[in-house]
Amino acid sequence: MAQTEWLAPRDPDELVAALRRMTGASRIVAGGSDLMLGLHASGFHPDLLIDLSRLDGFAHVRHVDGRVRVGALSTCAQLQDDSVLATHGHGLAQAAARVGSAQIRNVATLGGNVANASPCADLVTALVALDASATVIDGLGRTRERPIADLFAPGGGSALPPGEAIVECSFAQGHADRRSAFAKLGVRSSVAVSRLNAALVVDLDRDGATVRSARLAVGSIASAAFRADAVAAALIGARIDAACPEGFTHGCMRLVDERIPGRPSWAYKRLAVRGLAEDLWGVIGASGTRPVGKDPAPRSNRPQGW
Amino acid sequence: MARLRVDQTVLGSAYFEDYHRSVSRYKYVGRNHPVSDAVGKAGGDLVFGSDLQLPGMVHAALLLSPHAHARALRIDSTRAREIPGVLGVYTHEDAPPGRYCRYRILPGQSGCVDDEPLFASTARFAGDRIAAVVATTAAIARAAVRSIAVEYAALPSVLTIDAALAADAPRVHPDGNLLHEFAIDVGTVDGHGESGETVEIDTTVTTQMLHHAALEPHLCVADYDSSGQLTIWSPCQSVYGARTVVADLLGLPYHRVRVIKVPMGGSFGGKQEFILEPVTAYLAMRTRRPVSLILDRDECIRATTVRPTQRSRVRSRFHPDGRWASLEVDTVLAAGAYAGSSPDYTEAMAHKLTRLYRVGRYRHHGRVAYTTTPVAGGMRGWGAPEIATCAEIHLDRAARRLTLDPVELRLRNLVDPGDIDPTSGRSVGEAWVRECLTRGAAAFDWARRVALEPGQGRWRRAVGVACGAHKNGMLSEAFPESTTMSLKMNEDGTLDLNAALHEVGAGSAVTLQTIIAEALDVSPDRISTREADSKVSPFDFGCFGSRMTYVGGASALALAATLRARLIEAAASLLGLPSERLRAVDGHVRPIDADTPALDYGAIVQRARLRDGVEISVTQTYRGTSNPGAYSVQFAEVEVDTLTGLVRVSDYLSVVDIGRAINRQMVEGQCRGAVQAGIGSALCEEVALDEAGRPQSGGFKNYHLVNAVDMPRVEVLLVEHGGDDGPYGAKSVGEIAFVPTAAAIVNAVNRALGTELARLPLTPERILAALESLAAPDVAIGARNACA
Amino acid sequence: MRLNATVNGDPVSIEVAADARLLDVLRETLGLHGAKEGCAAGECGACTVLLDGLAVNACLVPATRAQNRDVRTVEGLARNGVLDALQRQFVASGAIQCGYCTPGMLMSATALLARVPRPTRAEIAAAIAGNLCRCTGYAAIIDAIETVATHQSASHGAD
Ligand SMILES: Cc1cc2nc3c(=O)[nH]c(=O)nc-3n(C[C@H](O)[C@H](O)[C@H](O)COP(=O)(O)OP(=O)(O)OC[C@H]3O[C@@H](n4cnc5c(N)ncnc54)[C@H](O)[C@@H]3O)c2cc1C
Ligand code: FES
Ligand code: FES
Repeated sequence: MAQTEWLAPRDPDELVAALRRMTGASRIVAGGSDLMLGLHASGFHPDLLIDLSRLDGFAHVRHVDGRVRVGALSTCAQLQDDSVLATHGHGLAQAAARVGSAQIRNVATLGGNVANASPCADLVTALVALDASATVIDGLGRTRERPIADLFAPGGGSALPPGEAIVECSFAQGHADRRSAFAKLGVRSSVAVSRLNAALVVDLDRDGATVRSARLAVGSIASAAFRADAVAAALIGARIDAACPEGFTHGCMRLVDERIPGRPSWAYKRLAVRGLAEDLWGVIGASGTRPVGKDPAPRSNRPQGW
Repeated sequence: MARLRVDQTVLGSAYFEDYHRSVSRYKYVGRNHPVSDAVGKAGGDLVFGSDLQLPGMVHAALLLSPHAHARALRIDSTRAREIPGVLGVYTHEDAPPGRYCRYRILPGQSGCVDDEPLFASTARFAGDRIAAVVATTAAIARAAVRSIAVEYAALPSVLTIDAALAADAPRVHPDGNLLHEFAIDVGTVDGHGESGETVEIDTTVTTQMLHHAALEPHLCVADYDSSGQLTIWSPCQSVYGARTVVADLLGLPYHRVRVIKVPMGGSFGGKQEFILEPVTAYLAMRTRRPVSLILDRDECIRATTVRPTQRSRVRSRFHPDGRWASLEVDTVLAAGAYAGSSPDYTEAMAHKLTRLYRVGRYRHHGRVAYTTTPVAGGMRGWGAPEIATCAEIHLDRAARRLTLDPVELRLRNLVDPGDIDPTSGRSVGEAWVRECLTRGAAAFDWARRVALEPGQGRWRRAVGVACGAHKNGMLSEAFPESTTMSLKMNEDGTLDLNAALHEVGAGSAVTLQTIIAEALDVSPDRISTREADSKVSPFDFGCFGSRMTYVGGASALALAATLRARLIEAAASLLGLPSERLRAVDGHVRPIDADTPALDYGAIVQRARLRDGVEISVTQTYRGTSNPGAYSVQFAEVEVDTLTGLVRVSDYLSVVDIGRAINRQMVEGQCRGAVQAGIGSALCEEVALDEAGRPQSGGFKNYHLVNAVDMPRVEVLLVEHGGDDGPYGAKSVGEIAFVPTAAAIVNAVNRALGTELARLPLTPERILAALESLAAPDVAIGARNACA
Repeated sequence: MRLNATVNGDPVSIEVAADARLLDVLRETLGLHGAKEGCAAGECGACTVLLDGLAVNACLVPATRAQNRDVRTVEGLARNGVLDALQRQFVASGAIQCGYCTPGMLMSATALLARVPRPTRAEIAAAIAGNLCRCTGYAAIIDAIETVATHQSASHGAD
């Protein structure tokens, strides 16, 4: 078996040089939580492995000129406690906090979550709701900023060609009183792949209590998370301290009906999505802007009794 | 909502009363003892089977059938053989033609069907062994397996019990799919006949295939040396059974096969049967190299053994006051592709309920069928959890129909100490299950909590209860319980116990140490034990059947008593005093009247040997004389999210009729571990098959074990009355602690929701579907009529 | 490629394949079999080790990730043959049955206590949520970690 070559670029120039050498049998590795698992299970040996972990300066979360910029190598562990996200991207921090176990969150990166392009990727759903874009660099050193959705192939999987890497994701800070929330449903309350996930971003009126506009992203019922703002529109005008508007819940159910009719999971997901809708709304009402750790998390997910 | 808690005062006082009673009486029994190899496990230096490295060791990997039922027409291993590092590829074409029973312990053992080949030419489940590769590394072996091309001719699969028992069903084995059938009819209708005043309850409950999920994957290491000696290192539960199966299959005399039990990372019955030993031994003989075979998690799930799926229809007649008039059970169980233990397993199910309740007339009809699904085998509780789940769900429905409190209904029917179990004709012994129920109900504050409304909001909360019965050892008509052990005292007064121990991690070694320590009044750490080795250990059947403490412990106690007598006899000769005037205390033999000095044990051994040529060691066979009931009663509180169908077990109490806790901490650990597994079996664990009969893949990603966050606080209450023939009155715990768990949780969920869920696990899907049909009354009524 | 790392305080310099898993290098090349393989998929935590103090699944981490870094395995917890406080308390609390999850549990607990000296039981449970145990029901493990945290912060408080 041929040896795998290993490159660990330390700066953007070395990264570009490494990307230039990629073939269809080369792989990029960030945290490795998806990639190493896949390599081991399949027995595939890449010709070249580009290890991003030595890159300096790609694990930032910055707030510049009204945009929040998150380095592709930021790990979930970093994001869940990040102070910039606590105020400007709570939903993303919440999603990061709900990824896998402590061990996984210590390695799993934002870029890996996006590039892996799984239908149930939690960070992706949060990013889609935040209307994020990704900055991609290629082997010629060109960078482009593209909407997140462009990185997913229509039939599922990544649309990123070999030789390109994600270096950053960013989203607009937006409205002054913006709240975002993330919710997921797995078999366990923690360390569980999302059977459904969703993220909600709402902008509030000047009263700080009434929804002026809203965006919704839903994952796990299509090849990638997608926006469903028409459903979120049911929230406009609602007070965030009131009960979850029925129109929103029903809209979520209809969404499942449209996307996966007849699938084995359909009957369940169309009902369960109501719980997700209520959880999202609960987070917005209770704590949309507070740091994740201080959240009264949705009751169904709260470990009690210790 | 304020959280409800176990009433600490009730639980606390009852608990500590027992604790002090036993602690004050004994020096070592009833205290906390870490498992004997805990320090090595904490340090990371204990060598588990999966850590074993032998000089020249090579690695094997298996090619497993992807099809549930197919003939392998052509197996092309040309490419595999060309891979550098590959030593050989083996298939049915060159393997010995014999078939074996993976469950056999002894030649001539009844209930064993020799139907399993080393390699299959016809795959009978998706996971059947088609070929094996041996290579210098595991990675090369696996790569080579991937490069083998097999051409299959599909055969019709038989995925359910009903499909297997259908008149025109495709045959899994030539003799047909009905593997075993039995009927039991004992007792008489209690009271005034079956009809008349009685109320009939009829339920059908289905339990699912489960993966044992021991954290250590299945593995085996074998070596065949130039002298013709085969050595097998296996984390197994019976070295003698492995010897029998391997030697018979490979045509070796028994003295040429040595099986050594190595430290194991959990078993729960999954390593009771001999799954990898035959094939690994064969590969070692073929390659003449030490061979290590370690499965990955997916292979463990689909290609080792599973808890069987079974369905039992339970029909009862109750008197209006709740007394049982008659009970009739009809069980069908899927054995999977090979018989294994399934015939015995199913029969075991028919011997549990009459140890627990007085049911009047008891009839049990059982059928076991071959299916083209993963091979069923023994698992914690061996049929007892299955039948308890069926009966206890049934009882809760009966309670509803009779408008009786579930605790009250059970109290009207539970056995009392000394009752005779009609199916075995034996006494249930010190059966304190009634006390488990009453004390547990008080500690759990049952009466108040059961009266609370589940609520009408998103989350509903309720409590549930279930009882369970199991056994203490294997003694039965068909099985004379016995075990042999040796105990030797050294010249410094330390002791070596030689018994065929199969420590599964539950602390059986330290239990025996504690028992001997108490009997001889020496510190447990002055007694060494060793794991089973068929070359040097006296014969024992193995570690299963809840026999380790009740039979093994009693054997150790009897052994220690004999050794003590020897010691006193030797001391008497040395001191020139009659034995009756001596006693063994605190590591010394002392005269009762203290005018002569005491002799310490070591001095006695030394001097007896040098002066009289006397050896202070004993080998003796212990024969079991009883098999009383083991009992547990468990209480669960659940919170159900009616929007998502997720269930949280929010509070738990496990009460066990333990007789006497030898090692309190381990007993509690067994109880809590059982609840972890029981919650899984009630709510989320299942080896699911797709339409083609392929078990799910994805390892633990798709087979969901309860993690630390989802575990409730589990209180443990031990009822300790002693008695029976166990050491210091001890009874078994590891299996019984799991028996009623699933039922308690299912009963709580059904109470919370007003549903009658009876198909396990209670997945969110099933819960929401049940709620939907409740919400659509037309459908629900229609469905009920259809059942009636 | 050549890997230079510190493993349990000792410098090592070994040849590793670029796509080797840290777990295989520890177990096979370095003979440190304390970290266990229970699933090879990041689900069970039996392979948990510390990489620069962070708990990671050695079955998912490329060995190259340890370049110039500090790796700690369960074998590195004891000092001069004496088990550390967590190890001793695991033994004493009955947190060990079959022991296959123990090394990973200990490493997750070590990482937790380094970060949060006085965790609540819920925080402990969350920290070991990625470490499965089939034997104990977790209670004794959580007890052991809680006990050590209590003692350690009590003794620190006294300093
Ligand atoms: C046990 C377990 C639990 C998990 N739980 C969750 C969960 O709850 N929610 C969830 O969303 N995910 C979960 N995951 C999946 C995984 O952890 C995440 O997708 C993670 O974010 C991947 O990041 P990584 O850095 O580890 O990616 P890697 O494994 O390093 O890479 C993943 C893929 O992306 C490519 N890649 C990585 N970085 C870049 C880049 N910068 N540019 C271009 N391509 C790149 C790689 O080539 C590879 O194809 C889980 C995984 C495991 C093993
Ligand atoms: S072996 Fe690494 S998490 Fe299971
Ligand atoms: S002690 Fe056996 S898995 Fe934890």
